[in-house]
Amino acid sequence: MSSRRLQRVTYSLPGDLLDRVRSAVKGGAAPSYSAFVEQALAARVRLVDEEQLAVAFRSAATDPVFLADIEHTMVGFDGGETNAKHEDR
Amino acid sequence: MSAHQLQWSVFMVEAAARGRGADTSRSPVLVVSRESANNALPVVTALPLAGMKVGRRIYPNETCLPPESTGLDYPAVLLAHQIRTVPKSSLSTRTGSVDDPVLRAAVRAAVRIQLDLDADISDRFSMPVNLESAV
Repeated sequence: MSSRRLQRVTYSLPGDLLDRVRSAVKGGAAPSYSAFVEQALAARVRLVDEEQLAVAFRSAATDPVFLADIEHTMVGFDGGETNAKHEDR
Repeated sequence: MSAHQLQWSVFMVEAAARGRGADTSRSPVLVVSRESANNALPVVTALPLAGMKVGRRIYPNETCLPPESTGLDYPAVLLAHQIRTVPKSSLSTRTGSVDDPVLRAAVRAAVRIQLDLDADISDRFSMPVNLESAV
């Protein structure tokens, strides 16, 4: 569940990085320092989330029980053409 | 069609099993498309349900649904990665309904993950597209 309630937090960052952030914001990279930091953190969090999902999906791709459910569903809806489709690729 | 709303209802879907004679298979699905679309269109969007097997791992694009909700006689795994568009005419027996808000949230989460529907932070800060200049 997403929340747009803003909270003030304090972090310590290297001075040269802060200089680059200020420069980037002045250059129009984001409407404010807070927005720039929010964008950067959100992008990093999304990468972490994506990697966790990728690990789960790679596991699913070799899970025989999961694959059997896919096969069963596709046979039920599509008429048992899943193997042929795989072989075509 | 029954007087019940279609969205969040579990139906058996009849699908012709092509290539295997004239068999007709019946598979349970949960209808997830919004009701205004369900009312207006000849099709619905549905997520197939599979029977829960012992030791079955539940992946992020799936969730479990209990027999009390689905009306099936077994716990089910909702397969958001197997999303289907099905004709309303293929919906047969209505077996149950997912009314629990917690279960609905879990279904929505599985769909959001499968379809990557989470709002991206970049969407909030992206510059408006000038459609006229793009034409």
